[in-house]
Amino acid sequence: MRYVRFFAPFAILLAAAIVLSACRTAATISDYSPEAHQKAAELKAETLALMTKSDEPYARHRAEAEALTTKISAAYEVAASTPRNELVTQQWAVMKDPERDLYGGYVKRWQASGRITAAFRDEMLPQVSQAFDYILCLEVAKKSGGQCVAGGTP
Amino acid sequence: MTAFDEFRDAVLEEAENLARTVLKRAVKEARADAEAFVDRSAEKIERWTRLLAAGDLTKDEFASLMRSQRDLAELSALTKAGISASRLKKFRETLTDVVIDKAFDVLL
Repeated sequence: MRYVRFFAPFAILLAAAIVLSACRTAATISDYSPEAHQKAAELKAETLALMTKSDEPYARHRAEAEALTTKISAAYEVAASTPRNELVTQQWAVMKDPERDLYGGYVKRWQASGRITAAFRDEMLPQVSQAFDYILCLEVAKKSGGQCVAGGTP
Repeated sequence: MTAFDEFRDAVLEEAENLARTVLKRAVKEARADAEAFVDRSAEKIERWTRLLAAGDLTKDEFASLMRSQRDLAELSALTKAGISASRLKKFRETLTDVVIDKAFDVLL
């Protein structure tokens, strides 16, 4: 009992120190954002809907494509301005980059060639869909801390 | 053994059990993910090669699809890194609870 009385204040101080230390070092990833999750889901739906029309002339969908590109750039900017959100920011960067081969590269190709062949479109649709799933999964993982079932594997 | 030694041992034991569980789960999932990635990639590459041979895809389109698979691998790795970071965060939060609980159990 004597030990307990002697060590109790010390233990509480120690516990408090560990709590503070853990809180500081645990700040390696941002908290779950329902807004970011919702926005990514909306962008996925809009992107896939636009891609299904990419066997038609780009000129006919130019305004729609440009508006979507702006929204995806905005999602990147929001991610980039969120503290401890480097992983999601990198994902949006890959997605929107016209020199890569997901959304950005696809739209660049559509613009350059005028229209996309049906076979190529059909193969790229699941690729871009999967890319969005990875972004969605990462957001969900911030909340659950576990594996995201919806994202699956590429 | 002092009360503090007892407290320290209890916390370390609990932390070790917790870490072992988290790590075991992460290793198992990482292996399953890697296997699934390779399998799915092989299926796609086989299909794209058939489409290329049939003239349904151009060489340029085929190359773009292959690169998109590489891009997906990068996004997958970023997601996995995020899941690990998130688990680490949860682990630390749980560990904090363990320290507090054991302090009250053993010392008070």
